[in-house]
Amino acid sequence: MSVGLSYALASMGTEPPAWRTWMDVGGASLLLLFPIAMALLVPPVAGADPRRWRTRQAWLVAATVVASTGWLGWWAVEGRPPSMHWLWPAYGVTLTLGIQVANRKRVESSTEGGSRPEAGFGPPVRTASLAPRRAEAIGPPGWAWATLAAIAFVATAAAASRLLLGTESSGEQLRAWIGPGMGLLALGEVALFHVVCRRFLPGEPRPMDPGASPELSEQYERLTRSRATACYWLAAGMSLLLGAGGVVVAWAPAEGSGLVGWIGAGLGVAIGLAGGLLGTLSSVRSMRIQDRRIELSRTPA
Amino acid sequence: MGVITIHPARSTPLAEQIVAALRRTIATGGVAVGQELPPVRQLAADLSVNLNTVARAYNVLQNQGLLQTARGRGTRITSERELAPGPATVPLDERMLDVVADAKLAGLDEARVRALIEATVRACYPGPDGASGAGPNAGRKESGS
Repeated sequence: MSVGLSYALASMGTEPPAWRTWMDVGGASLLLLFPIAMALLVPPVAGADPRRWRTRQAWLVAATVVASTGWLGWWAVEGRPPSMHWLWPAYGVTLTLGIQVANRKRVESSTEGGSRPEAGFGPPVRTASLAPRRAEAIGPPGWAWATLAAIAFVATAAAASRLLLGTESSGEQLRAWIGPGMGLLALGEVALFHVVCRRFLPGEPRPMDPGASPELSEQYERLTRSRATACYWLAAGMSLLLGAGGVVVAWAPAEGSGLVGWIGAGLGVAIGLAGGLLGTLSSVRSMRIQDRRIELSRTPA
Repeated sequence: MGVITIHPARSTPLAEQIVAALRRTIATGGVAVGQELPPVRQLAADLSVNLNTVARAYNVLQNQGLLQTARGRGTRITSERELAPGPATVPLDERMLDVVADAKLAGLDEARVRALIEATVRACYPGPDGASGAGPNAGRKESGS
């Protein structure tokens, strides 16, 4: 968002060099560290081998550090930040790694209904209910979110590429491209968080490990709850931030704006606001559902 | 609804443990005929085992005539009575002898062994008032004996 904003401001002729520099650094850091935050904030895994889990986290951190170092190294040598053509692939790699880590953790041992507490809790037995679970739909179906995320990323990447290619950039064109792009990106971030985070919600009420003490079970639930809550608030914050970015860029005044510019500005404001609001509302609603599930899971069968 | 338990620390393969646990659950009425079992993916995730392990266990039970998997409709309990086992199966009387011999060699006295057997029979053949007696499968002669 900040990278886009900085380029937008620069192209509008209001470029403050120091501001742009910090925006570049901040934007790149945000984009590169976002996957790590997502991977680390997912709730703890029931029964996963903690050594393997930490090894994967270490690999993810190392990959992001390498990507960030390369980006900063380029900037130091060349005297200017590398093109976003490099940033986007780096973002994609770290994001993919983050999702991979999160999914592997999920496959190893789900928190959605398995009764084995986290490694080290209780005796080495594993129990499972024979009741089939039906996934509880929260909001639109997964394919809708995935489509939205894809549109958001493509739209934003297209806007960024258009800027970087330098094709007759003007304030009007910028608003037409970046405003909606940022708004869509806000929706995309919401979608991404939603798809990833809701997989880690505690499942339906389940029998706890017969060997686990109530204190340990409660500790496990509390840890799960705190990380899931942090994950959702991060989602809400990111979507609000991006939505606000879309609004700011779209609302930036420019002399002689034509119809295209105003349409873009209007779209940017509308979609940006929708993204921010949707992100916040869906996060709050998901947390309420999560609270209810945890409450139910503590109720003896 | 029944719950199954496996013990990863034991030397018995996990798939065999799942088969045995499901057979126990069926025999003790933890799941009824016609009832749907969880999908392979769900059970594998809950038990923290590989998908293939659960799939293998389901396949064994399907070959025994206890389960049936229909594409798109899940896996259901089809019978409380298994198909006749092959000649390679150890006869029931030999298995019973193994169990009682294990108990004796473990140092249990006769009364304790009888009590264990009584409790097991009561679990599988609950009478109307919960006492041992003629249950729904009381007249059943287990194959392989």
